[in-house]
Amino acid sequence: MTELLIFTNSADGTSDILVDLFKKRNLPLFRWNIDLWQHYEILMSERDTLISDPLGRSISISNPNLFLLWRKPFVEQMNFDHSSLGNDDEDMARIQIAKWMQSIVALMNTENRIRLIEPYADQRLPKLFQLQVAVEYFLVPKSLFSLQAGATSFGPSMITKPLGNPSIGKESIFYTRLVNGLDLYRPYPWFVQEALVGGVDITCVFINGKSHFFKCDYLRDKKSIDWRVEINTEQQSKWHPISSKDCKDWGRRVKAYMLRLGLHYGRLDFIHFEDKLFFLECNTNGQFGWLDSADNMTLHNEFADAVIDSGTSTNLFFKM
Amino acid sequence: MLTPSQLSTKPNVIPLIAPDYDFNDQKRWDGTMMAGSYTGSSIQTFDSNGQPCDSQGDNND
Repeated sequence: MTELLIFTNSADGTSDILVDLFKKRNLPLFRWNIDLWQHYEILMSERDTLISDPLGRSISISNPNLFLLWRKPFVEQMNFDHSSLGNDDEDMARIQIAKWMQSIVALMNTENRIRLIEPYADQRLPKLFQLQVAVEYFLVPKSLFSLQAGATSFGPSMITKPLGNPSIGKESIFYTRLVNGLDLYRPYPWFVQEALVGGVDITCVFINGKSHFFKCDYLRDKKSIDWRVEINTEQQSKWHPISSKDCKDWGRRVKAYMLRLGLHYGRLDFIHFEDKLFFLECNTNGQFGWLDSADNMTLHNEFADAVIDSGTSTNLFFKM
Repeated sequence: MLTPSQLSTKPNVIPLIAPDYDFNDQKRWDGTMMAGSYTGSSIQTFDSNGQPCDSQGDNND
């Protein structure tokens, strides 16, 4: 009987919803939350791996009917409350768990038992690489990664954003910012991009061949270019599903691009500017929960269907 | 001259008391997800400190 293992964290709302949806589908599920790692037991020998939770529920990785869904098991979230460990020992524990997860991924991947979300896909498909592939499918704003350059072909006004995790220290976020390129500290590895000020944020949730487009009410202007700065404020802009006549063509392009990247899932970000769609990036494990309808959970249901579909095996070793 | 840390800001945080994780149901939130009046369309995930994950949650690992 098919069984599902989710590697996630206990604050992940999408995992909560998936637990309900799989329960309705009578699919047994074991949720391993990395932040609560101290509450579980892991027994991994040279022959098998057993994971059990505090209630005695357990799974064996060698079960050929067990499939893995990778859903944001960030090692940074490992909780060390009530432990007397120092920072160095905590860091080592994070490395140990990261390598253990990597081993589980390797094991299950050899038998095509990882579904929908490809673990570590951002390492195979980093943002600069994504852009170079995207020019074959979409319009892409001019961009430059450089150490010394003060001037670019798109003028001094530009946006800059991080290529990876946007966290700066423990409390701050490096959001996308509109800057004058001449004001940036050099030499430094900056990524800058043409500023399409006034465009509209579009995001696409791509699940197993199907695209869902949404647009944001946020007004991108010279004061602020990143809609996320409004999160948890009263004036936070709303997102709306869109189904314009253009979506059919956009969806076709997205599907071709995702096929090229070898991905079954992604949340792709675009800017709609002067009636044209510009590709920004593909979040290979991007969140989509806040976009879904609370009434019928269309996206979550489609996501759950895709996890069950054997056609979404990620098959890591045969990718470009 | 600007550096990334000078360009960074603290995200807005909603004070939130997270319910305990329920190992029996394998869920933290009961029923409808925490939405709150300030979230976008319907659902938004938070970490255990009440900080929205959208600011850093699109990473793969």
